[in-house]
Amino acid sequence: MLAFYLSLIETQEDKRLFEKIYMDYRQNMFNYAKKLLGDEGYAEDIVHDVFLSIIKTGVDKIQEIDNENHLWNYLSTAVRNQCISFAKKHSVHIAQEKEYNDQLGINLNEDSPLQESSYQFLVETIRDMKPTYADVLYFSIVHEMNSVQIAKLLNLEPAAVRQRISRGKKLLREKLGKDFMK
Amino acid sequence: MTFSKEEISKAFNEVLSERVPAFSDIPDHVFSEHFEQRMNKLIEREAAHPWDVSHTTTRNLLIAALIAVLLMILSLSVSGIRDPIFNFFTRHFDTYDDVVFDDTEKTEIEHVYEITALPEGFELNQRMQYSTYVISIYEDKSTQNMSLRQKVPSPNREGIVDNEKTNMDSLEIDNKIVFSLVDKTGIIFAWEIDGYEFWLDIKIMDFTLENAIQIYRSIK
Repeated sequence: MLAFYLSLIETQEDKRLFEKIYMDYRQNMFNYAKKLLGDEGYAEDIVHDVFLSIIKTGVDKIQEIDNENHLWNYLSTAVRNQCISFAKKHSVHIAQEKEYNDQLGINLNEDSPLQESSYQFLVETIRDMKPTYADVLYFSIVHEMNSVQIAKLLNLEPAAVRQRISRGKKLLREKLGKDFMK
Repeated sequence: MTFSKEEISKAFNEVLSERVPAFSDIPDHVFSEHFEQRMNKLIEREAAHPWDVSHTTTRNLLIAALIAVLLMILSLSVSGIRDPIFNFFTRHFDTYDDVVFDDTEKTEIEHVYEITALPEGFELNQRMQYSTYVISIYEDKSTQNMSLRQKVPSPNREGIVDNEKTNMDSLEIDNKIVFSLVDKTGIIFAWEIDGYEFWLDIKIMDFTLENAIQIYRSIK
């Protein structure tokens, strides 16, 4: 027999949010995964895996996001990293980051323009970071997720996440100063 | 340079937004049957009865309160009212009660219940229907909403009850016990009838309990 602790309100909220995300974003998540992996079957697997990882990580993390663009950032970053993990494990070709960003008209190697403000410098610093580091820092700093949660969401090992966070923060400290965050 | 968390969050979101293309021009993909089956299972599992999942302590206490009220009410109520509601037995321990529910005969949704008297301006916005679970979401133009969940109860339902926390209430409506929670975020009703569990979750500003009861009564 199963023994359960019981829940109600937040769980109901979580369920509704989960269903809403599923209905509203599964097409875009699929399209993004297909664009990266080039295969509909793989892309469906990724969409499923991301939803599964959202459940494992805790839907309440998404509950805190109050902006649709930010929610899409969260989901698309999860999709992209799941695609990369999937591609590595299954020796599948993935649209490379540079190649992909070129498609989007983004040149990561371009010299930063004259900084108009310290905030703009922060944006440029993050933009110049490898997505490998920027993505985990995004979940770590913006969503205050721990390495285990990030690992579940992105299909990575917690040790790898910790290493990326450490290296990413080191890069930010080198560029912005050791006290870059209040 | 020192930045606030808000500034850093804004910067990350700005950069991440640049990296992902828009897909508005791409026609909808028809997902494979295999995918739909897997997602249905996932959603049904996620949509399982609240006491099928374990989350935070707060939630545990809230639902524990619901069951505690259920136990109290049913222990006091007459059998004519009690019988159609829940079938269960309890085992008493020092700090908690172990409540085990009988299974119902239902194995799948045979009839989809609907709200037949919607508040003005509301309409059915989404319905997701699976073999053992249906959710109907109703919204108005301002995206105020309410949802009705109908579910075939899970087998071997069991709950551990903390009787010390009870901020739930119960209502007797048309000879049925309906468990309710009313707070600033909305109104929730939970009940079991015809072998199904129902959860009515209303998030409409200034909606009264009387309004909610009218909605409950219109569910057919």
